[in-house]
Amino acid sequence: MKLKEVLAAELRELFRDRDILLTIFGGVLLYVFFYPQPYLNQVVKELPVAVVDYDRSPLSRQMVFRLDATPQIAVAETAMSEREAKTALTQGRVKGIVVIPAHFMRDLYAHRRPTVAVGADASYFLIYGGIVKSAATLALSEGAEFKVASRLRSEIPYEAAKRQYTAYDLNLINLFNPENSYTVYVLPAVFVLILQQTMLIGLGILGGGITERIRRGVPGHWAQAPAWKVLLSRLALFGAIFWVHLHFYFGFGFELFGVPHLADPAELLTFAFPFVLATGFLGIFLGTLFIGRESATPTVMFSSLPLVFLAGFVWPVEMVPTPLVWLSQLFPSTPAIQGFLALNQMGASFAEVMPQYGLLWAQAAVFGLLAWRGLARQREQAKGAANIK
Amino acid sequence: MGWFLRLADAAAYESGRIRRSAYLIGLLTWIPLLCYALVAAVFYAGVPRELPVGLVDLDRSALSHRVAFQLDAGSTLKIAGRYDSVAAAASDLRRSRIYAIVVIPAHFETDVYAAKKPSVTAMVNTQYILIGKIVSAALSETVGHSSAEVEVVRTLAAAARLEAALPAVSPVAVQMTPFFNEYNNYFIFLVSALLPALWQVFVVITLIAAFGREWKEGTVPQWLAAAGGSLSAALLGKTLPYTGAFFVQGVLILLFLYVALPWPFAGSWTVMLAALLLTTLVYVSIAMALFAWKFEYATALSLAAVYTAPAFAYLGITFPEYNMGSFASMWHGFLPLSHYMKVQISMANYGASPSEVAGEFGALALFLLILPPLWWRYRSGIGKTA
Repeated sequence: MKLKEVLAAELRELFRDRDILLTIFGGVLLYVFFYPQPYLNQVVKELPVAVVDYDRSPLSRQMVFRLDATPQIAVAETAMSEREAKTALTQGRVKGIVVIPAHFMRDLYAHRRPTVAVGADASYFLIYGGIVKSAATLALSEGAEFKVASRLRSEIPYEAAKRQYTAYDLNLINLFNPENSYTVYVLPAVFVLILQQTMLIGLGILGGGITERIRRGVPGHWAQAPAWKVLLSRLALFGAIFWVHLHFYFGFGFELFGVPHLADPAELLTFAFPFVLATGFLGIFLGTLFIGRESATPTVMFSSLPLVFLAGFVWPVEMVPTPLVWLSQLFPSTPAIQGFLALNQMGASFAEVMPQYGLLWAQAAVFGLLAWRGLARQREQAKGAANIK
Repeated sequence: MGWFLRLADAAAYESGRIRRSAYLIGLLTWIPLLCYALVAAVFYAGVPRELPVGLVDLDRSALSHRVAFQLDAGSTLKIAGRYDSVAAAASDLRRSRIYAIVVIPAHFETDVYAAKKPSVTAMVNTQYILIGKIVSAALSETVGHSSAEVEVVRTLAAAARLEAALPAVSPVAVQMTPFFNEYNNYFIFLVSALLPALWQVFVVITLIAAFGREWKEGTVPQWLAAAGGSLSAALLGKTLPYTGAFFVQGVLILLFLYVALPWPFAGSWTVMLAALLLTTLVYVSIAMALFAWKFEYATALSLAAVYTAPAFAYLGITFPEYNMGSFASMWHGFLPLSHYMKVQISMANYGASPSEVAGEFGALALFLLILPPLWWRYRSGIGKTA
């Protein structure tokens, strides 16, 4: 069979199969809108908090007012007692509690170091972090204000007083995702995974379907054409489709959800090339292992959550047991996510993602070989089945 | 009485089918357990420690060395590299070899002692929000303590008493209390949600496999015959072994989290198990509904993928439901897992009373309303096949 004929046959196989089309076109289109939905609001704001103000002084009232004014916190209830506040917490009406002790203002001026208590529901980390950090910062800045005021009273000039209130401080600069946007955090990585998984499922359904037909003795181009022609055609076909999907996700998808991309398009595409190759070859290889059309979707689905958390952008790779880190290196998504994040979100140079780039090529080579052997094996089986018939 | 016999026969028929299929046995046993173990192992460490940061010390004085020592000495951070300039450190930052660059400026020590309040600058990679928050918090705390230490020493010289020195340095104390997850441990936070999220994927996939294979292999008449022709007995009998198996899996997950591991469970186990049973039944019903869309195995799996795979993000664990948009909030409600997780957190973390989770039980029960229409759909669907 000529290469052109094999390509035409592969094309027919693809476009005749509704389930494959559903996954690689429908799924890709759906997921770009569906996965980001929970994170559309990007940051966590106006978390409801209950304040117990035992002091009721002008200073404490000022603190409550400022607490409400911070974007992360909304003072939803002012409780009469801590027990009341705790009930509101367990009933879910508030997510945090701030307790201003009695005599707060008096103790502060008398240098008796009053304690403001801040508690929040740590079942949900963004909630805990958001409330505690904002409330703690506010309480401490009340203290700092007081210190500056004290020094002013000692007739130190304001500029000097502002500088002297602490020995040295921390100037914290947030890099790459300064507003802590959840979409910028999650989407660039999840998009890469979606592209991989949908491609693997599509190729897996195709390969499994062929295995089924070989078993039933149904003839097909996979029996006549040499394995390398099938490999090249299938890769070219799916590769081209996913090359377009890549542009769709990184172009339209990023624009739509306000995810910045710092990478030079040429560098990005150069990096993407072995990713598409490796994923394509892996999919073709898996397809030769699957015994039916229904094996691909479950297998790929089971691996999704583990792969997300092994990629290193949520949970530091340093904390993951080493054997699992090695396991994650078998999948194109791991180096791809790391590389794309570095290029697009962190402005890394191509030299800085060479390790990931090299790994993708290595994967492409290994999976390419395995895919070729797998297709050759399928061809033998097909010819054998045809002979028996 | 006769119906119950038919039900038992149908369940026996399905058990036979399971025993003959390595795939179904796998889906009920080692495959999910392997996945659960994998995910649990990823988060085994629980609390991030020794996260690598880079140091650029432009002062190289006793004080700057002291600050560096304090940063390294804490358990959260580790000074993984010392660089001559920010530019040199930046490359490692972009490669994620370090998660932050800490810069101690030149003349740091002299400026401190001249009361000029210099700043230690930290550039933190907040692309990784979780890691960025942990690193920032650790840096703030360390620099805060370190600075206060210097100040106390300075102030002591004037005040001569520690009790007087401390309020001068930090007039207000803040006591921070995490409720319900006292150690701020990521394992219990994430894994307690990830395992049920994986579990519901397995329930739906396995049930679809059970029905899908029946249709694909053309053995629907035998199945109905085994149930004595009663569709309701056939449907219930077919799903019974899976409901049992996945209920057991759910129990194992709960036992793993709250009994084998020392995570507190403050509420009622009876309520928890009741919720688990109800949720299992709901997912079984949903799987049947997904299959009944077209009575085609592969199509049902694609639908299952859309419904179950993204579920974890919608749960409201990593990003609070409180802050989701209207569509996400609505879809959150459409997932039985969301309601189940609320019960789990209420029971385990809050020790809530049953009445406080009645709403979630109600929501779960509502899902079961699809059963009568489902029966009709299967009746007409089977009529066409047989």
